[in-house]
Amino acid sequence: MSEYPLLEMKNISKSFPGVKALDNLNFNLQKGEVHGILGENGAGKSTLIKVLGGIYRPEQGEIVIDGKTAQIAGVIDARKYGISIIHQELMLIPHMTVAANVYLTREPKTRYGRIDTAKMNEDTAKILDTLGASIQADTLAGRLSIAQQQLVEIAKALSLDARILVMDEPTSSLTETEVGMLFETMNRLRARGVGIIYISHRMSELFEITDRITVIRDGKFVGTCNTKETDVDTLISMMVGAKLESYYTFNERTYGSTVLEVKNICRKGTLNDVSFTLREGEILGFGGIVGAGRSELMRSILGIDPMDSGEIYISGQQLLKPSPRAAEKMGLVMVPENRKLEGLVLNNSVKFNATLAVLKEFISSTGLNKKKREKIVDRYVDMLSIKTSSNDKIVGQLSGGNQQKVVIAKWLAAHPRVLILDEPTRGIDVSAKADVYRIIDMLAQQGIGIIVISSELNEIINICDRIAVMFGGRISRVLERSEATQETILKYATGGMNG
Amino acid sequence: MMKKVLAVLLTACMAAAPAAVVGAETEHEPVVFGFTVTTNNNPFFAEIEAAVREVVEANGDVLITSDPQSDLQTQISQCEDMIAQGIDCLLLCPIDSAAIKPVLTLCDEQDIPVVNFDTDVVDVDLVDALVATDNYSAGVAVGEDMLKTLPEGAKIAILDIPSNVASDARIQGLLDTVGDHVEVVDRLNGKGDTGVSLPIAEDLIVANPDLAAFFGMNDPMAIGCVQAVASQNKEGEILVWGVDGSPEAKQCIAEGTMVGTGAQSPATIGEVTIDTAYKLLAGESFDEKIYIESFIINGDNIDDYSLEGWQ
Amino acid sequence: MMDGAEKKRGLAGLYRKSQQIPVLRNITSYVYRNTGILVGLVILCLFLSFGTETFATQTNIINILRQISTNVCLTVGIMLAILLGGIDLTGGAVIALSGCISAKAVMDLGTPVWAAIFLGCLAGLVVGMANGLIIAYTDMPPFIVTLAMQNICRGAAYLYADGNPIRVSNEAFEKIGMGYLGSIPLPVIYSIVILAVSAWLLTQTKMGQEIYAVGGNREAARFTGININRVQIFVYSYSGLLAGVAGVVLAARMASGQPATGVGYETDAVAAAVLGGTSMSGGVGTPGGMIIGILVIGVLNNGLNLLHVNSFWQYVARGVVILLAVYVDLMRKRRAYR
Repeated sequence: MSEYPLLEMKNISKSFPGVKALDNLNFNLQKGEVHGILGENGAGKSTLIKVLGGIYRPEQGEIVIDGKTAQIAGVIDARKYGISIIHQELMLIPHMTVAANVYLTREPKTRYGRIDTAKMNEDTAKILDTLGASIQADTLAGRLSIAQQQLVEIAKALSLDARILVMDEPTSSLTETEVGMLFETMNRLRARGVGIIYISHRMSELFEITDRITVIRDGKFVGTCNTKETDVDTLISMMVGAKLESYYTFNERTYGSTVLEVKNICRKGTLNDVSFTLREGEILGFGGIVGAGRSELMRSILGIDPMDSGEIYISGQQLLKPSPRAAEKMGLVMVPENRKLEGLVLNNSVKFNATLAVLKEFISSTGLNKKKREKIVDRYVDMLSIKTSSNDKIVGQLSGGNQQKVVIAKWLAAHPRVLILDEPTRGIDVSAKADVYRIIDMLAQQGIGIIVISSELNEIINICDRIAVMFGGRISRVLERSEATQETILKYATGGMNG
Repeated sequence: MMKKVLAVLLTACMAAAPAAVVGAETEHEPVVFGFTVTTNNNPFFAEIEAAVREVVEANGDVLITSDPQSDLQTQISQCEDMIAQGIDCLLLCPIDSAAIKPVLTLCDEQDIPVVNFDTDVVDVDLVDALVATDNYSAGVAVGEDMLKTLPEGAKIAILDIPSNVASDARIQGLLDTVGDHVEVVDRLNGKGDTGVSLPIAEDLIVANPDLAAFFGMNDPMAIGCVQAVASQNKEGEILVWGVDGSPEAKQCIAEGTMVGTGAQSPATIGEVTIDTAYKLLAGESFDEKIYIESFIINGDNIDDYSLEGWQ
Repeated sequence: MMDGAEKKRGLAGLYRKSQQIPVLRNITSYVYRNTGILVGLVILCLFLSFGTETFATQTNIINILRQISTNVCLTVGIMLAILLGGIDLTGGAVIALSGCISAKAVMDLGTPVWAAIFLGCLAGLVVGMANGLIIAYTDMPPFIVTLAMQNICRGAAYLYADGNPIRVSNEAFEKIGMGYLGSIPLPVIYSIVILAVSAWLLTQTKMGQEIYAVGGNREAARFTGININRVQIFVYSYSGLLAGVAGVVLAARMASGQPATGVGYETDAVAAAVLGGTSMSGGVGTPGGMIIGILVIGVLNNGLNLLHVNSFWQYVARGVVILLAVYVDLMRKRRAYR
């Protein structure tokens, strides 16, 4: 055993406009260790990886490898230190062979300067062999399954003499058997002394494969535990923080009539016969793993993606040709998942954004009524407690939480009957999250039917009346509030097979 | 890109046309001439082409025209195409006097005679005959008219196209002729365009309250000056000369809003060019260098010319 | 947090105070928003007033206003296209085309003058609408579409005019460009009307707000239920129409339809729009800023001529002024972001 850990990250800080993504974070990795990192979405996991991979430069802090300070100024530097990252979205080029992908930009040359394909194939085959993978080096990468592509990525990392391997949600699209194979490979790498940083939301996997687990929250280091000495509850309370109870708002409400009814929506490859109903004043949560079809379902309801068949009724009236315009006219609106890409005109003012959906209300043939506009803005800035120095402030300068509130304000101004919120608290700070929960509860009390899509289980468990759990493009179960727990949701989110 | 595709299509069409003519003519093996100018958009060159074509077709021969649209590379490749098609003689007005050399070398190797017209090439020993527009003499013609009209010490302003060979020659001709008789107070870039020249001329009128005349290096710029004089209510006080002898300028001279233009006759250039080419091919004697002199068109002789077309 | 910092600065403090008086509020916030470029314009004007005897004369100022009228039309069109996150490069060629069409109509076809004007403007509208339809329905980049259309229009102008300028001798037609209303040249009147209508369009109408939304974030606009195609077609049509108007007015000023005119006019228009604070990435820019941008370019071109600056140095001077003005503006915005 060497006296130094393989990798130490000391007091790393990194911030983006409006968000402190990493705040004085500490982390260490031993040789031959699988180290899990656990945190909510937006907790800073991906920023941490990007700092390690040389994509972001931290404002503060030090990275130490083998007891020596490492200067990681770019991706090339990271590679020199033996750091390899396998991203959630695999980065193979589909129409090149496996070997060509493994040796991309480092192709061995013959004496005459041509690419030595034979040697490349041979070397790749050797590496794949040590991984116990039965993949031909000269097949096209695009023909491989996801799991096989992942093995190729690992082979690529090994061909680069990787000593620190980062795996970001590697199992999100693997089958049970494939996960087992992956773990076997990881054990082999562990035996060779490679340190693996393993990021996953799946508790069972973390407990199966990791040696230690580090929890981070809001960019801060919460704690590192030996996997053998901890349990799920401890980790979750570390992830969510102590203020768990006061954090969520939920008041009993009375429900009105059905405001949204979705019947048998199908879309080839993503949605399979989805039906559900929503009542006035009800909050319906949608749970499930990424790719289960939740966002896709909402996009189809709004007509952003076409659907193959199915019917949508809003307050009993059919939405015939779904489009964002048509849906909005009937009172169905969505706060999209990515507020920067899909929600806000970032370079324009709070006022502009908040009133964009209701231009008709203050613009007539004689022009624009400024007072009316200000009044609308004031009402929602006040109602949602948006913290801004003035209504003319550029939205891009607000914090993530306040930006999110502006998107909500835009849609509230349009007096919706149904409000869909896709990941409403992603990447915003804890107090803003609490605000958003309070707002959602308040809106439901006013009789608006609300749909919340969230990957944070605790969020939907605590604020929703019912939870529709999706798996493989269908709703596998609708849970009442009383029966919704982490375990039940996870059970149906994985097709009721495990958990 | 668009331009290139169009140009290639045009060349192809024009190459296909003579094939049909060849079948009809049986009297003698028709002579094929290649013809290239800066751009066919310029009415001056269109006029030259028309004059050449008239003579060629009257003789039962063939004229292949290419339009490089002021692009040097296009002109070179179009010339190469024409040579590959087996032309017997190249009638050439180069876009760039020096850079056209590869075409001249190729013609030399293949023994294709070259008649250079309008703008002369740098490598004169590679061409067989030169029929040049005498730009210098255009300046001289206007200068002489100015000497007659303007008083001693009159202030004039010039609109030109900087670093253009023809422009420099015309202005040199003017300056050499007028000498110290007039004072040039400003010389600005009118880009050869009426729309660009108009506001510049207005500013120059404001900047030089005692301005006596404008010299537009070509007629479009002179027209810009004419309109500027009108907008500043200086008709009769500030005189305007141009160069080209375009129909538009002649109309202005007839109206009295312009004094004169150093005229060139594209028809004459075309006629002399093709005449030289035939002599050369027939082995007759010819002048290796012919300069087509410019002449003044002004109020005195405007009635002798048609206002509709070129002279 | 922000408030404290703002109060410390004298100018900003004054600005806050002035906000309490309604009339002053509009003026001061206009000045505050456009400080960098406005200071540039004032310095330029002061310099020219003292540096030349002729700059600050009524004749010259009227000349400048008349000269910029062409650029006003093109800049408004290009600015709208830039606001939308695109660009319109057809302006100069449309000027040539619509000028030739109206000139030929008056001279050769014997069309009444009003109809000739209408035809010229219509040509611009048609070209613009074609741009808009192609951009909206094919998703080809505006740069490419309008560049191609620029070539088509230029070619069409030459073909239609048969390569030669078309001389117009028709007093009524020439009046459009050379006439006066009182002592104000008609082209200046058109500019004022066009600027007023365009400013109203941008700030007071639904379409205006939608232009900012589509340019600022196309996806967000789509999610908001804005008909993006409609907005695009409108903007390019409007831009084409204005270029058509400019073409007719310029033809009247030149008393001729010139197929070769207007080459590179887009450069001055883009410069004016950017100087006036329009962001090349879309969604940001005000009509008020644009007006100052147009004035700066107009005064600069005029001033360099009055100062007898040589053509080569004029290029250099224009480049330097554009760099400086945009830099000052950038600095100011960056400070605002802190």
